[in-house]
Amino acid sequence: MGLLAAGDHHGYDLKREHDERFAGARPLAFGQVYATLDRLKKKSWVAPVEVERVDGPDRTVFRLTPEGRAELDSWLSQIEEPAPHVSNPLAVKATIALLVGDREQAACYLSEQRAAHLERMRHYTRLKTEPETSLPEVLSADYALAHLDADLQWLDLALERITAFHAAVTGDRALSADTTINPSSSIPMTDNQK
Amino acid sequence: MSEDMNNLIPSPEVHETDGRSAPTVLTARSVVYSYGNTPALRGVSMDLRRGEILAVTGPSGSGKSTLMLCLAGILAADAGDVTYDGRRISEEDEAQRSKLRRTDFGVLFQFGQLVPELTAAENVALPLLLGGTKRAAAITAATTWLDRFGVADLAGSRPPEMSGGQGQRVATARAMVTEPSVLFADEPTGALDALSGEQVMTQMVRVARDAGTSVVIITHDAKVAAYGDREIVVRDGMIEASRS
Amino acid sequence: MNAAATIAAESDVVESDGPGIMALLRLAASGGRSDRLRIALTAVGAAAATVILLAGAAVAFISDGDGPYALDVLDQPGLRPGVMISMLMLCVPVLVFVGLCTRVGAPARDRRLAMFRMAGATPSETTRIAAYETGIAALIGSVLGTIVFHVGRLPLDSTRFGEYTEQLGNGNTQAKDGQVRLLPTDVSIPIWAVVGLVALITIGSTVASSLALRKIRISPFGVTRTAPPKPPRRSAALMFVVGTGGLVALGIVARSSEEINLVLALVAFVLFVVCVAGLLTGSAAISASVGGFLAPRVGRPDLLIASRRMIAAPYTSSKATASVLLAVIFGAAIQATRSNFVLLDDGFDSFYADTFQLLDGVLIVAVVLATANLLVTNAEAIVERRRTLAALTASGTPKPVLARAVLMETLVPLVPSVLLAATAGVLAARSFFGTSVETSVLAEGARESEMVTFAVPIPWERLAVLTGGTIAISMAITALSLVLLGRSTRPSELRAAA
Repeated sequence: MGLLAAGDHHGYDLKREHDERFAGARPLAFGQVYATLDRLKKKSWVAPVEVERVDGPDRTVFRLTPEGRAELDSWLSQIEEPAPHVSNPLAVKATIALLVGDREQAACYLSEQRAAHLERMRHYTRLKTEPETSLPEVLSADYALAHLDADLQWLDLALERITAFHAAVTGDRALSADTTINPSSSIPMTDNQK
Repeated sequence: MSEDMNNLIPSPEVHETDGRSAPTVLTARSVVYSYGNTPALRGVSMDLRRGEILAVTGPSGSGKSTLMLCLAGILAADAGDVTYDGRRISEEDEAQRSKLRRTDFGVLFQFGQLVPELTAAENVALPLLLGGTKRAAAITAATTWLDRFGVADLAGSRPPEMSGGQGQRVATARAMVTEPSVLFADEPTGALDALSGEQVMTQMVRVARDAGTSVVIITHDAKVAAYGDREIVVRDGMIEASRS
Repeated sequence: MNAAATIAAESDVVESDGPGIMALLRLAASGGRSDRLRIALTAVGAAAATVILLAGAAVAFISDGDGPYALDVLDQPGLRPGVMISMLMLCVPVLVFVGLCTRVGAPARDRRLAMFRMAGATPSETTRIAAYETGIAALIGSVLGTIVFHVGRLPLDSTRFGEYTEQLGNGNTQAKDGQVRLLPTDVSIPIWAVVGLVALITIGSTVASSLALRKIRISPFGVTRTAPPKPPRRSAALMFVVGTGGLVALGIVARSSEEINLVLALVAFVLFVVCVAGLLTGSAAISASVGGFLAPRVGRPDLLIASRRMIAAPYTSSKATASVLLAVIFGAAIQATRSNFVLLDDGFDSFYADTFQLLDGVLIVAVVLATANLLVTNAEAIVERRRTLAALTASGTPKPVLARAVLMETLVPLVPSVLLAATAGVLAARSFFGTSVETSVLAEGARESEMVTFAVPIPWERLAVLTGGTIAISMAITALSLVLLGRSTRPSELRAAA
């Protein structure tokens, strides 16, 4: 309906417009388009305007009705319920790893997870800074980056909470609030690379 | 919802780090540094490869800024070595390190490093003037660099008249004017809003890659670290994990 | 943060119209090293001013039972006011010093006070804190100074055999020999005078510090300085000309009346101030002009930084320069006057020469104190700019370059002002005391003495020593403030708040 608000279209054009504007999304199937238009027509939100006859079968041009416009406006004015689904697999695994696994295991998982997240973030960063990237793609990249960053911050925070919790429970002096789960002292890898 | 959004953009391919086989330009070996009685670095070893952009992250107080100061020769390590171009800069005196910082390194801080009384062009030209370049040539070079960062029209303005983002771009131009081997940036976008920060980082990365300059970015923000090719995490004065 | 907790605690306890004075003072002094330095410097300045004024008071209260003194200027009542006026004028640079001292460590204190403002204090309260702090420090210093003065007199109280002039009842004088004192160390100053002086110093210091803070507005967002106005060239020149011209005119008037009148002296003082104000604004204007000319043209980094600073902050050192210029004008006047009087010495009577030797000593003290003000101003300027300086060092600017920039910035405006001040002093003195002197000379072999007119020479050598010496001391003092440069360019200053 948003696309129709810009002007009258027939079905084929609608599919084309959608695919262009939402370049990263799955392309719409024609059947999907016509089925949707049918449903909208039944609700009187769109109405057929004329029938073009261009070298082939009839092409019906659809227009948004005033009721349809009202419905569109109403949808645009409502917020999306912020839904932090805690069933996110990352959150589950991380929580389990930190609570259940020993320190080495948890630290290993955390650092691997961070590396993976950061690599993904690098990809999106590269993409959004290229001059050819379209605005919708940039917006999507921003969204992805914000969420990945949020994941990382949550992981860091979870780590600190778990560490403090362990320290309090075990009364372990060595595990003060300053030190955190650290796999080892200076990493031998870089020395070996030499 | 996030699943749908992720599908908007094709999945990333495996990305080869270009600098993997490149030579090392700066090395730290078991570097130790303390501020008085407070230890900041407790034995840090790492390499910086030519042309790579390295992000150094970690919580505040972890010692990542101190690491940068030692790598850049602003501080002399208490123990351990920092080697650049075959020289042990951690052993050199302040005068030698000062000269190195002017010619081979560029440094960018979070704020406050432009001389507020000088114009932008004069600020950028300052390292060249210190090296003995004549004013006319230095100002010309400075204006060229300002242009690369899109702030050539600010050449005659003074820092107090600029926005934060513009000031950082001028400061980056100054850091790059002597075509250094290494650019050090400590929280370069810390005082900026998201869009200005993005502009600063994008231009910094582009100019550095074009010039073949290696970059070390100190940051606590993963979104800034994502501009780099590689990340080093510093925690409690030691390196936690170093993975590409 | 400590300060916030103090505010909160005090606000709870005290009445609704705000925390009490003690809380304010505690807040102001809660800083640490620089606060203690500031209070100490204020006390020292107040002590110095007290000693000077007490010395003048000693002269004022010479009574019949005291003396006789080797210096006629002390012995003869008509000449004493001159000495007292000199002491009064000598006090001015010291009071300026005290006023400037309030600026040491001021930014940190002002930030704390700004936080205090956010808790609801009024602007006048915050300025009052600074004034009270200075007042108390000055009071303590002044009392100390009194003690130092009285204790210090004892070892200086010695007599020797020498010549002095005695006043005879019929108005004539007669030279006599006997035990004479050099300094009026036997005079007992009445208690009310001492107390009055202490009160005067305390109040004077408080006023000086209020004036020093006048240009700074303490707002909740921190301390903002009212933007420095562009130094007006024409009114500067006008003030200087009016001041000097007025002194010259006054001199002619004074010569036509026979005695040194106290009223005339005070008018002269006012004209001095006008002249110095003109010099100050003029020196700021010179600073801005020189800077404006050099800045777009120079390629030397130290000169570039210095000239841009001169444009941006032409008044920075002007408060300190004021006392230097005052000392120089006065000094030049003394030297020129000396030429007059030395001619009157008959050759074997070095009365005037001795007097002026004493004055020379006083002058040296004044110049040193005045240039000490420069130290405070310079130190403050360096500390304020430490983040920029640290960043410059970090990006590879050699310290000598920064040091030279600081030196140039201070000295370029100072040199012409000092020369102008010396000129003004000489002109004023020559107009007051005349350019020719008539005296009786007993030529060798002649029976009678005759009146001969001598032209009074301009004492170029001594003036050169005065101006050159002042500039040299200023350079040395400025170089001393560079010691702070090392501390201010440490990497840890990179994160310092503005």
